[in-house]
Amino acid sequence: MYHAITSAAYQGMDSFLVQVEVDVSTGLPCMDMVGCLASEVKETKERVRIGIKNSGYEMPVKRVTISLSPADLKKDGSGFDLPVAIGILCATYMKEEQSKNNHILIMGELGLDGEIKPLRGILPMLLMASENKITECIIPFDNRKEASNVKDMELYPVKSLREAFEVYLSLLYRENGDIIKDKITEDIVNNTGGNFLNRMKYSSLDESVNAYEQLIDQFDNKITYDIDFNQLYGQDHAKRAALIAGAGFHNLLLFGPPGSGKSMIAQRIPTVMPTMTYEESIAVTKIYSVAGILDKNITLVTKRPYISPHHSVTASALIGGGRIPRPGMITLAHNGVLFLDEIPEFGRVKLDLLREPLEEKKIRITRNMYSCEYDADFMLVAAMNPCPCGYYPDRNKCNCTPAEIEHYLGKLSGPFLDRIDLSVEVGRMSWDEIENSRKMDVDEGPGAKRQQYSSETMRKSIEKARKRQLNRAGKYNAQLSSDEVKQYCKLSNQANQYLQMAFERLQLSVRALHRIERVALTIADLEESDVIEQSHISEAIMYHKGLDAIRRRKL
Amino acid sequence: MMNYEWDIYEAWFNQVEGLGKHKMRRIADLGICFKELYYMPENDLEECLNIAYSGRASEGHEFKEIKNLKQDLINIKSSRNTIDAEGFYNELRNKNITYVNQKDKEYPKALLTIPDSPYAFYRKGKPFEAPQNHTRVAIIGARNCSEYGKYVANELGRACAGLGIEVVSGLARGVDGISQNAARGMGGEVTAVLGCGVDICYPPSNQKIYDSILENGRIISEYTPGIKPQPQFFPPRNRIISGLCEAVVVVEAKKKSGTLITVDMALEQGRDVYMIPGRVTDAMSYGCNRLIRQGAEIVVDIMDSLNEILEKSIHNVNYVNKDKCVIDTNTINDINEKLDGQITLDDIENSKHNNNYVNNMEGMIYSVLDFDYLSVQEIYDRVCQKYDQEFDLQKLQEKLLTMELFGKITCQAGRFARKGDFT
Repeated sequence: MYHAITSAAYQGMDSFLVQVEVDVSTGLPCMDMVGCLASEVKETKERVRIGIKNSGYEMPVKRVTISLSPADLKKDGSGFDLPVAIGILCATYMKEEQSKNNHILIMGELGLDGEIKPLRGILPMLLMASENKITECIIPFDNRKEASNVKDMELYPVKSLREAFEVYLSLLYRENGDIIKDKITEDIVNNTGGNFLNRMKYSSLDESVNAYEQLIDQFDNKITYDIDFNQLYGQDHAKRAALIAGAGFHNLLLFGPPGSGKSMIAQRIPTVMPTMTYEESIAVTKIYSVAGILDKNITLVTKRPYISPHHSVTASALIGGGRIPRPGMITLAHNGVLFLDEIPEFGRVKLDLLREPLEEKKIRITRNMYSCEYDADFMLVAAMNPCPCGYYPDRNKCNCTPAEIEHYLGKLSGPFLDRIDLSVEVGRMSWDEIENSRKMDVDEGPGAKRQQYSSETMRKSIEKARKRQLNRAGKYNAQLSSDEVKQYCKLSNQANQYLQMAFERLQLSVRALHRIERVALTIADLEESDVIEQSHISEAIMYHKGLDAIRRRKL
Repeated sequence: MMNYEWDIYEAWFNQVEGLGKHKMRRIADLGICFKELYYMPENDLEECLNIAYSGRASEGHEFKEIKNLKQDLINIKSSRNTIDAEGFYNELRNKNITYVNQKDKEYPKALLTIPDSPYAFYRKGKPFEAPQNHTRVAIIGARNCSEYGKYVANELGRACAGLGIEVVSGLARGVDGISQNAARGMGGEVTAVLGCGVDICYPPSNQKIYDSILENGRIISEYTPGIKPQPQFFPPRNRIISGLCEAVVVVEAKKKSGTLITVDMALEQGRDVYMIPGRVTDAMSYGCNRLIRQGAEIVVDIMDSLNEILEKSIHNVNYVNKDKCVIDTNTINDINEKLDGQITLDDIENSKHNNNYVNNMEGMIYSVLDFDYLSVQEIYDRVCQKYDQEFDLQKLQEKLLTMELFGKITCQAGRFARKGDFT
């Protein structure tokens, strides 16, 4: 007997439907699988055979042939176990052949005991299925939360093969249990019919946008961070730079001696960024789903990603790729912060790979077996020491020669630095400063003195500034092209003269000028000023100085 | 003519690899003309070297065992075959390089008196004046000097130039180059002693200073033109620096500094050593401060110390034309006036007492600035603490940048300091 089941697979972020066809006919008992399969899929045979047996069914002693189409696309993942198993069961036990195209999508990995295990990439596959007019799906129980993001889809999360088979039959006939039992060769079905289906059904979020708001308000995803900018002592200058960078989505470079708080500042940047919109959340959730790092208890990712790879990360782990395409760190940081600590240690090669995604906000990975595209719209926060030993210019500690420093700074290429808008020094703190802050904490409660730079106040002003930017140009200031910079940056006369003077005396390049204007625009946005004033320009120039020095390899 | 010919072959012999001043002197003491060595049959040459090397040290020079006779012989032979002595000499002259040996009138008398005086040196630029009535001072110090070091080196260089003192130094990065450049800028005479051939500018970043020194000064070296700098060349170079001078002024030196080698040599040669004191906590001044503790002269006032050096040299050296070196107060005042162009330490003092906060934020900023570079955060903290009020970080940054644009302070990678180097 022949039976066909619809399933799905993904490559990169693109998913496609897969027809799983099963034929059980007389012949020598064996099982063949065809259709451009990766090794995980070939292992399906063994899992299915034992899974069927341990679920209380019988594996037919016949020749079983399984074909996965389209046959020219490489299929990987363990999600075909369940459709194959159900296909075999149907082909074995059903009395009549079913018409080929049904509207039920089945995905799941099978354990030897018949248990259904969660999969990666459920969300993008279901979204694609929804576009292809598929309205019902049987998915692993642990994937139900992320799947509930898909609108107009009836979800049947199942825990075992037996449950899955029974749900499938009920869906197929949509009639009461007795009729179904007539169509099955042996009476192996315990639960079927409308009541059973209703019990198994998992409600998807009807109005997802509303549900999203509810989620943020009530559920497990309520955005709370246990870190806050007001936990940081001093470093007002660096905090201000972080505020400006966050407001305009500018990339930020922090430099300073070890232990001065560069990483602490970077970690706290997601806490001041505005809450993700529904679309941003869905995009991040899809990526997490494909990468297999989505928590099974989470419906939507609402916290902005913060990714900080160690500098020993390989090139393909950083930007994505591999034999089977996987999203890289830059994609996991989509809509969030990518923090690269000790950035010169990454090496020129890896850093220069970031140039294109920083510009295009996505990465296209092309290998001879595939070509796929991942989103990579992240805010880069980089941190570095000023010299190999880390203590320059403190000559009491640092003995690095200018040549050593030059070599160290040379590990950052000019074009890479061009994609960073702000830099700020995070210096050592004096004991007085620490002592003062501690006293304040005791007297007025933790962080009271530092309310000006608490995450909450910073986030509020960033939200305001971002709204202004979106209203004005439809994008953030960091993404403005040079033409748009000319269009939107309105300088007051005084500011213009000042910029001219700085341009001549500091020997700035035209490219630097654009970046300074972009940052000045963000500063003006933070102050809700429509015109860029002298103070905005001068502050923007100050944040440019470090970058210029690193470019010239002289700190 | 005879003399000229002698120089040609001596210059040739001097450039042979492996022949130091001791060997040169031994061979010269034999009374053989270097021209003979150039044309002599090989057997005789070996004989000559044998005699020269086994001989006793000539009077006044310490005895040093002479080794490597065979290697030297090979070097001399190959040099005879490959180098045309006259051509070599002419090439030097074409490059405006002069070969100066101890017999020349130009050879500085001060250099003759040191225990290990160079047999000869190469010079590019102005000759040393024949009636050598100059007082020379070596200004040396750290290469990675602080902004304070730059400031003092600059002041010293200018003051020397104003007093007619010749500045001798090594053209190195940091203190050396800055002091020489400052003296040059004031029209003073400058001598640079290199640890490589005189036609090579090391470090290359000082090319501008190198070129300007040639206009009103000279560059000398013991090493044959074309020889690249090597680490072992520098300590012998330092002995020439100190040997040329009446006194050595050290601007900044770390605990273990190459500068201290020069100081040791200066003391051996009986030169006065002056130290610019630094702060106790400053690693860049540790070497200077320690030497002060051990009894070196301390520079409390640059002019006073330089005058003291001048007077001493007038008393000690009787060949000096006294009229030329009398220092009257007028010249000193002139110099002080010339130095006044920029913000001085007095201005800094004044700004401290200025309590007009609102209008004079620049004054407040300047008062907390230092010769060390401070980050914006540090400046902000200091201003807040000193004047005990909250300031606007944005306003502070605007002021800082404005001050930098108007050349009042100096900036390096977003850090700010008082200006030490006015070049």
